[in-house]
Amino acid sequence: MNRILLGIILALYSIGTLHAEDGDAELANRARGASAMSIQLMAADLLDELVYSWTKNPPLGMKARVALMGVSVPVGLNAQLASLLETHVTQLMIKNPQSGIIPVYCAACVAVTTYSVRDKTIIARGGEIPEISQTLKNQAAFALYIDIEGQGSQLVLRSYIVSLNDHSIVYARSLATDSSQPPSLRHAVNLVSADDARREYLAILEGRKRLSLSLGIRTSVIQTSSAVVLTPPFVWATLGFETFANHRKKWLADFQFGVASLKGDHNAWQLSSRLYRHLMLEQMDLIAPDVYIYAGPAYWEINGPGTALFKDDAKLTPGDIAANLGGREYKPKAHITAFSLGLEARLADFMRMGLYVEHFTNQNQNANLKANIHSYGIELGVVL
Amino acid sequence: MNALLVLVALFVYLTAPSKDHVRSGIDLADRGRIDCRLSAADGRKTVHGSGYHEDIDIDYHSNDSAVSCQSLVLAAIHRPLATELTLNRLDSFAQRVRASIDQHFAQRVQLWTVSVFHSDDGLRSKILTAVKVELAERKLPLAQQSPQNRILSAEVSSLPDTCRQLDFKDRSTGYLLIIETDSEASALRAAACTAEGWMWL
Repeated sequence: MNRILLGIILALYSIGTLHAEDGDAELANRARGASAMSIQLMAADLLDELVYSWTKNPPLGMKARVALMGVSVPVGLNAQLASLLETHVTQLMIKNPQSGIIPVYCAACVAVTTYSVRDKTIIARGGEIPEISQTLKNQAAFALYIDIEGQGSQLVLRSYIVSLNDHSIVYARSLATDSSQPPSLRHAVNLVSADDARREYLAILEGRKRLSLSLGIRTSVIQTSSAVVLTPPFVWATLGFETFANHRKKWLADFQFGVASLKGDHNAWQLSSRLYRHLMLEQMDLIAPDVYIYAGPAYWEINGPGTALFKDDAKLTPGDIAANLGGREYKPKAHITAFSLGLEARLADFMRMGLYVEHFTNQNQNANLKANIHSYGIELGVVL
Repeated sequence: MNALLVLVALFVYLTAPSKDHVRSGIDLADRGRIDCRLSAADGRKTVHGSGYHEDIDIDYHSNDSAVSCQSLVLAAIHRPLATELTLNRLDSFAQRVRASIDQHFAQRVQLWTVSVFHSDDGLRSKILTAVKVELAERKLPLAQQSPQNRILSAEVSSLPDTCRQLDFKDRSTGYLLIIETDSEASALRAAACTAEGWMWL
């Protein structure tokens, strides 16, 4: 037995050793992918800023046909990134005609071409050979060059525009961003400045006060003095107001008016307030679920046969409770005050799922319920 | 009693000051290499934190220093040291070249053509673009290099001689040549070829 175990351990160790190099390569490949994604967003942000500056101050002072001579990406990253960025900058130029730049596709400008006369042969891109570019005037008047490079903690964009008429550089601009600046992720249409984009982004992140309409399903487990009652899931809707107590969204307070209904059992309305505390603030973003712990008081007024349990004037058996559920004439009303403690996860600030325990504070004298009665339940809903 | 202890522990946890505004120690394994700058603070009140966390103010005393570190933008990409050195020095090199041109040629040259002689073709185009943009941003008149000129296709060792043999019909034009002088040390040097002859900058 020991030999078998030893054999398995050695085999696993050997496999691990043999694949260690592959594992390193895989890790490096993943790191490269993550880095390329981050560079793509940062570079797109720089391109946004470049074209935004053109919309405010057109670089050519007039409308002109401009051929994009390609986007050069940082040394070590591949042409796939270049094509993504070329697509992005072309889209920006199309969507922002106020820049004065009319993007054109000029294959002869970009393609490597051979030009020969009696005493010389030139191999270069068409737009860079004066004798050839002269013949391309009906296609493009200017050529745009964009270069992006990582230098230390900075990503630098350099761009210049060349006149295809006299080959002079008529415009040049460099921009830089650094690794600590999150990209603004601007819309291509009606570009806004980085500051405005930042403000919009923060407004979304910080959106402190809002009305909330929650629709969902709620169910509870209530322990009576003689049995455990599982309430059937019932529709639950609340309308309320919630506000973050500080701009970092650590604390959230809400005030809700709600209605709930279960056909044949009860109709209810509720007033409640909860104080939420974000549990994983450091990991907070717009994609990962936000997890809160909450506590707060609630007041319920319940009408209908299902309320009988909460009336303390007579001790009911499970049979009585069942009989009451079917009784159309018997419609008692109960007032319940409770204190809730719960855990809630919100996904994309839209879907919510919660687990709670509720302590009924005014039911201690209720002969039908256990002393220190608690109700346990789940809530599923959406915040509109 | 137990419930009370749990509640107290929960209360202490929830109301404890958040530490997420404090920068964590730099984990070199996670972050790869970092780019740090040291600066002496002069007693000014400095606001720390990114756009998200602007709630921390720190008063520095006059004898304090601040080290500001940021992760390299391409920390996960392995590039040869010579490449990194060349690229990281690009801005300062281009600025020095521009300052030299301003100093030595002022307005005498009305149109510059820039060319780079480098063993690495990828770096060659990076250097070329950086120098061109630096000069053009400072309004120095610049032409896109025309590939048929003799000096732009000469051997590096013969550049000075080729320059002296050039016939400058237009004396207001000049060639700015960036030459890799030591590939291991990533050393670049600039030279100007004008009607006045060859000059190392």
